Amino acid sequence: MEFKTFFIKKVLMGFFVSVTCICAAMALIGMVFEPNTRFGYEAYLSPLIFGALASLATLLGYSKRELSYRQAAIRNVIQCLFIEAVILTVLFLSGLLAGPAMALSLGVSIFVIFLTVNLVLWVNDRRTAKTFNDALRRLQDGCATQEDEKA
Amino acid sequence: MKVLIKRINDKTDECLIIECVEVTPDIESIRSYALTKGTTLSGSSGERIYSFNLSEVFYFEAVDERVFAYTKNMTFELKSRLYEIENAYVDRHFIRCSKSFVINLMKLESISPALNGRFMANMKNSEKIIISRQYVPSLKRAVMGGN
Repeated sequence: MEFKTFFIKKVLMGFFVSVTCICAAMALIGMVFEPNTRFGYEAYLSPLIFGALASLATLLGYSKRELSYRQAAIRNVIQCLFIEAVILTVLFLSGLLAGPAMALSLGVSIFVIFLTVNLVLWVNDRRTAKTFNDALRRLQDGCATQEDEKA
Repeated sequence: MKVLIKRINDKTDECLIIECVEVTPDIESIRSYALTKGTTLSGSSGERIYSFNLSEVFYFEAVDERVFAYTKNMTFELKSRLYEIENAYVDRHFIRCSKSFVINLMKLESISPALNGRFMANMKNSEKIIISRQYVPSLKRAVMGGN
């Protein structure tokens, strides 16, 4: 896959799904741990920033040569750990982590978001596969008809 | 469409002529079918040399500079290179799906998504072959048309 195609298909799509999921995770975790906290407009930037950090980590999965199934799986695990490390470090350094319980909740949320993004990408690929399979069936039926006519 | 069959004496002179106003996908399909049916390959299995029809082949695989053709029950080693097979039979529904595989679309059951943007080719003999990302667009073009 060319880098441009990879960027558009994986990184950008991952970004938009991540931003949506981060907004949902922030709302849920915030309601549990900091229910009385109020934010200014700058709070709208954090899903975008964390979404960008998470999506840029998708670049770790890019390779010009074809990865084996095992290599691809290992890269996905590294990518997930990298996202966890980067986001938790940023939150810790900016003093936004209230304690271990919040860090654990965030870690689990990041993992769930990572799974959701990959699930959305997989569902998209499954839709492509379905369209392909329908076209394949038509192509094969066309040839089978010729076979029947011959018989 | 009218179908005419004219008997001739010499097998080497056998040919199929399609007279059409426009080369539609249906016409292309008939052409591919005729080409596949008329093609026999020879390959070795053990000490013996066999002749088999191209349409029986599920896929070709290159392993360490050697190329094998897989039919339902047999595996034959061929003298050709994989790129030669790819070029020779691309118009007969044989498509490259990875560095080492050329598959027969007529023997393809379905594809399903695999990890990291790749797809899995599920062949009609229940074998599974990975479709590399770089060959996904050409495979889609071959089946779904378009550029």
